[in-house]
Amino acid sequence: MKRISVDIGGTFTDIVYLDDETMELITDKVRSNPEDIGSAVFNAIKKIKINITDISLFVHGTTVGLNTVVQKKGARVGLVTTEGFTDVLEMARGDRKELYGYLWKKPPPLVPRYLRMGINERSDYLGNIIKDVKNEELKEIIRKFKEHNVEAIAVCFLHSYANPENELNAGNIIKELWPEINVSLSHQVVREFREYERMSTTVLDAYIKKQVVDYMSELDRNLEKENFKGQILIVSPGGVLGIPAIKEKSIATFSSGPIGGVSGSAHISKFVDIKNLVTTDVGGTSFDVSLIRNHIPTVRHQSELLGYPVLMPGMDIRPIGAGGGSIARVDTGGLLTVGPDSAGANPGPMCYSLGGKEPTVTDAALVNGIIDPDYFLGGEIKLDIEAAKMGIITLGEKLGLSPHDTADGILTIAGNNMTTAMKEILIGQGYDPRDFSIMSYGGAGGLFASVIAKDMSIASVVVPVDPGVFSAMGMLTMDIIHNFSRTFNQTMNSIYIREMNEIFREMEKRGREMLYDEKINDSDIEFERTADICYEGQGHFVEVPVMNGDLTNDSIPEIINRFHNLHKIRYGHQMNAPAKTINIRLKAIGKIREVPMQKFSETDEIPESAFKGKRKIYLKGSYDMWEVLDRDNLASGNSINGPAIVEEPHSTIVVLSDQSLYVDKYRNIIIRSNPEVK
Amino acid sequence: MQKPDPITLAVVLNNLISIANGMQETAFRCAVTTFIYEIMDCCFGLLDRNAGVIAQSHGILLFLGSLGPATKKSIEIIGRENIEPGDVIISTLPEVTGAHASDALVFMPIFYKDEIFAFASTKSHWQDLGAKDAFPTNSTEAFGEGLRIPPVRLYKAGVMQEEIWKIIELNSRAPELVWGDMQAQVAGCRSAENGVTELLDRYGIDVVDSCIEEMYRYSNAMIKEAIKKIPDGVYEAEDYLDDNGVENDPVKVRVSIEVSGSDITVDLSGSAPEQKGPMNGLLISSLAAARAAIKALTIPEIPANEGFYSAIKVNVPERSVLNANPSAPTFLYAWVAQIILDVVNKALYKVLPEDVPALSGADVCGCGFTGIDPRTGKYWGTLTPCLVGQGGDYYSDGENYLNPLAAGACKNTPSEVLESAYPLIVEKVEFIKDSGGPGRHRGGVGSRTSFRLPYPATFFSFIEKGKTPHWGLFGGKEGLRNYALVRSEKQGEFETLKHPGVQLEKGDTVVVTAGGGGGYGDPFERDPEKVRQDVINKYVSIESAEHDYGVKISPDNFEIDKAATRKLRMKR
Repeated sequence: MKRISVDIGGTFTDIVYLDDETMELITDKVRSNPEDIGSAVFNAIKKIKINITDISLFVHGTTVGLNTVVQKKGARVGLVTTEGFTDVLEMARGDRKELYGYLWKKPPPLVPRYLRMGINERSDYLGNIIKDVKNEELKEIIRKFKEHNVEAIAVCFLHSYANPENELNAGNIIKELWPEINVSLSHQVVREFREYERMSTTVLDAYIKKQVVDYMSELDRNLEKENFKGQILIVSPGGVLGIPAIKEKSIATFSSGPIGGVSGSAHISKFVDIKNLVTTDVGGTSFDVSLIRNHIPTVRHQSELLGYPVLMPGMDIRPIGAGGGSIARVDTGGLLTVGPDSAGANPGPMCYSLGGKEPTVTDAALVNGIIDPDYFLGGEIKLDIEAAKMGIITLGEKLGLSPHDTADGILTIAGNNMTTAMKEILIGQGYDPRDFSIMSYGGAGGLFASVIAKDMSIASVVVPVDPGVFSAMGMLTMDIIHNFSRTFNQTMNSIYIREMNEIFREMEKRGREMLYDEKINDSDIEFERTADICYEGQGHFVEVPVMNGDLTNDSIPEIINRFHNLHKIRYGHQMNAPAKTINIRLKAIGKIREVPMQKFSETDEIPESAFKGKRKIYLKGSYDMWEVLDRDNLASGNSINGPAIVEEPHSTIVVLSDQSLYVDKYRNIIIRSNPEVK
Repeated sequence: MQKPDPITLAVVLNNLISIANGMQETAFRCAVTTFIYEIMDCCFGLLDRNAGVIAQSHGILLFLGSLGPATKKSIEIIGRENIEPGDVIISTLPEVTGAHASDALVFMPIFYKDEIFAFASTKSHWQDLGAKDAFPTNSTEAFGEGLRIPPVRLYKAGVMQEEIWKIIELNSRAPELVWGDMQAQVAGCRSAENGVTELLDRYGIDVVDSCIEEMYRYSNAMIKEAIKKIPDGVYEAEDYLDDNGVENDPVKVRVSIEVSGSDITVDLSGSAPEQKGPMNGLLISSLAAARAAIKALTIPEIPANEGFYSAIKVNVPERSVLNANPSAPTFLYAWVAQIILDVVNKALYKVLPEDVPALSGADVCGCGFTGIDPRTGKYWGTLTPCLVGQGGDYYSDGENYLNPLAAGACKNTPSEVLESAYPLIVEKVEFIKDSGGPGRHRGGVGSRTSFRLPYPATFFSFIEKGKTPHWGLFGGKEGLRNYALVRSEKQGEFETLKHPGVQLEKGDTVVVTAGGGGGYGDPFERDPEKVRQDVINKYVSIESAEHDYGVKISPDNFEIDKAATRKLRMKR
């Protein structure tokens, strides 16, 4: 099987080609084009000179949805809600993000008040319909929407998660009256309670739908023109999805990029036999952290996009503003700060010579010798070390520090920002950092991973092959996952077995249909059931695995028991209170043929060609001569003591003096701290 | 003490702030009531060995400012020498905590090398501590507002003191919820203990101490620099609370702020005396409010710590509404603290016109229900804020539907959650047209929430700023005032602000009006196009556009009648 993946990022677009049979692997990067996102796909394909007609699988991560929101280019959306709740979208939750900020404002609503219309329908929280949807009311609303040139409609009724009948009826009436309009129904976007969060997600879906659908159609057409005959799968926060599913739920294109890396990490974790990983993806502007427990990425059900909440299950990836482009400044109180502002790709760091006026993390690494100015992107871009120095010197004067100490400080603070973010995530979920290893990737990941590991007493770091394009690589390892959820707010009790069985069956039926459409055979279909359960009164639930097949009277006590145990593990105690289900969830999984990992024979002999010479490097307050190694020429089985710099075209990896590196049989680099000499 | 290098300083400070955040994260995970994880009626802080604030989490602003003094007072009472590693100290005594008796202070010492290095301290609302009513808005003495626990050790050297817990348990209507939230607070403190120990192992006590010193010094320098920008002078203002909960007269709060160079003194003399009803402040909360008020106007963006607090001098007169004696009822203390922020703004708006907004709805408009759910036979109770509009400001219109700064971290409760969890129907939650005070920058609009009861229940409310104005600035007009309207089959129809409890029957309704913010600047100077947009979006009526803004808009096509508008605006 021949497959490719293309991952569009803010700065670069990465491409990976893999032939399962010959294990031929090609990776490369081209610049992204925010004005015409799709163009980078074909530039990348052209650059690696492959024959697209042979490819049977094309996996794609795109920023089209995100860009639509960032650039405010979405559709003019009309919103239909239950009468009395039209303002929920603008109300949000009424809290402030800045504690002392009198002048703080919410992000403006994506639908202005005059395009938010209520209709006299109502359900209760159990899904009993109290008032039906009436044709005439919708007719009048559509007349107004047309008058105001509305381009997409979002429908969100109170308690539609419990019974979607009214939303479905409204959807049908709208389709009848206005067949060509895009409609997003809240229960189809996300079937969970909390009206503001569901409404926000639904409106975002409607807002980006046209752009996403157009993009997907164009991609499909253009690939067809190139005689592509394989399958196209798009990256979503849970797994990959076929284009029809994405057209239905456009919101699923959000946060595509980092997902691939996390999935790739989970894949590798099985081969290297490390159960728990904290993944760190360091690019130009952001540092994305996520956790893998027992080879499975942890999941989160709500995230945020430019201040708008998005209710959608997906890998739990937390970004902080720290990366190669993060800007270093001295604040009004005289403290050195790094990020969250970033110089991005343009103008980028000062050393890019594209007009950057403030020093960044990359400039600091360059000035202290960690990055080779002649080997950035394998030499494609020549870095201007003098420009970087100027910026660092100016900053150093404000701090009373030498240029080298200033640059060292920038790296220390950037690294520390990453460490504190990681600690908050790990400790916030009750985990001990020492039970984890780091999976480090992204262009700037290698600069920090070994330092973070040391700071957090983490024993080992895994750097996969070609970490600079690892997210694209990881996309190839993703299965198709359709997530279904349903709020089912009931005390855990056997009397609800019939209803729960019905819900699971219904979700499985729909999942199977969607997977068939995506050319998945029965033998490659799997279902994973869970239920969000909490103690009565609690606000935070635990996602508890539920057995497949028909639930019986014995199932409920067993699920409750699982819940007690998980609660104890996670929170340190269990309670003597009734358990309650909040949501019922199903993952319908379509297995994609697993990506093999090529094994190499191991040798402890280090090829002469791996040594690139020594370089003077300033780190943590001292100047030393460091060994510089060429990763492409290191062989499996090689092991070297730090300090060392390992260079490859898209990344630079630091190994500290009390650490050693080892190249495993899959050519991953494993960095370990040396046992302390007493 | 040696000054730390700038890099170590930045790293250590980041870690300290992260430890305070970690306390909150940990507690949220374990909490069992909406007070902590949904409404966020709680706060978490890391304090130095003298109970000065090192760092705090994103929580209730008024709570945060009082954590330090409350912890300090508790330590004095217990005796520093009696504090051992593994102790957890709690208190609900208002004169100690600077809060009403349903808020509990929970803190623990963090020992390092046999000495106290820091304290991890938290405060949270507890579900029920046996007050005479769930929300006693008409109490006339401290007794009956909830169990008063002086600072005592809930844990001694790591061992839970069962007899202390027994007292709490027997005095609460919902002991299992109190237990869960109390444990959540303890878990938060323990996480800080781990974080601090790790940091000290790493950098050593001297370095961390010098970093904290340096942070205080530079925070102090920063706020002094900001104070310098306020012209020297004495600035005075007074404002009023509606009433004290049992009598009808407005309650005066007066401030005189003296600025001289980088010194600032907030003098609250001249305010009303101690009140008969529960509208009484506490010294600690009044100090916290005055300091928060100055910080918000000078350097809102920098994390708060002891360095700021010490730069602001505050005088709170004894036996006044701001500083009641221990036997006085204080259930409504938070509203006294709220108005301190507002009156400080009123005193300074002329010299800080870019920083001070017009008055918001100035209240969380809290209301709730208690009862027995006939479906389960169990006691239920809920409290939900109804959200007001903010005042217009120098740059833009006031925000719609947003909690006032003092309670800024609090969220509303989603209607779908309310209806699922309690026997309650939310009929609507909508903006109120014309509720924002007219101004060049309009006040934000408030909201109207309508509840209907499917079964009998008791309704209570504590709504302020229903009689006194949500003032505008520089010619801006006041916003709509707050109130609740009860429509009851048996009790009839009546408006209310503070009510300790009225029995309602099935089908009765309560409509809470959370008003708007005041306007900023002369409404006749508002850009007519903006007025037109407001009319299209129904924030403002056509009548108000004409009457308040002098803009004539056609009801047919929403076009501005330019000639008529010119005439209207000339006339004045």
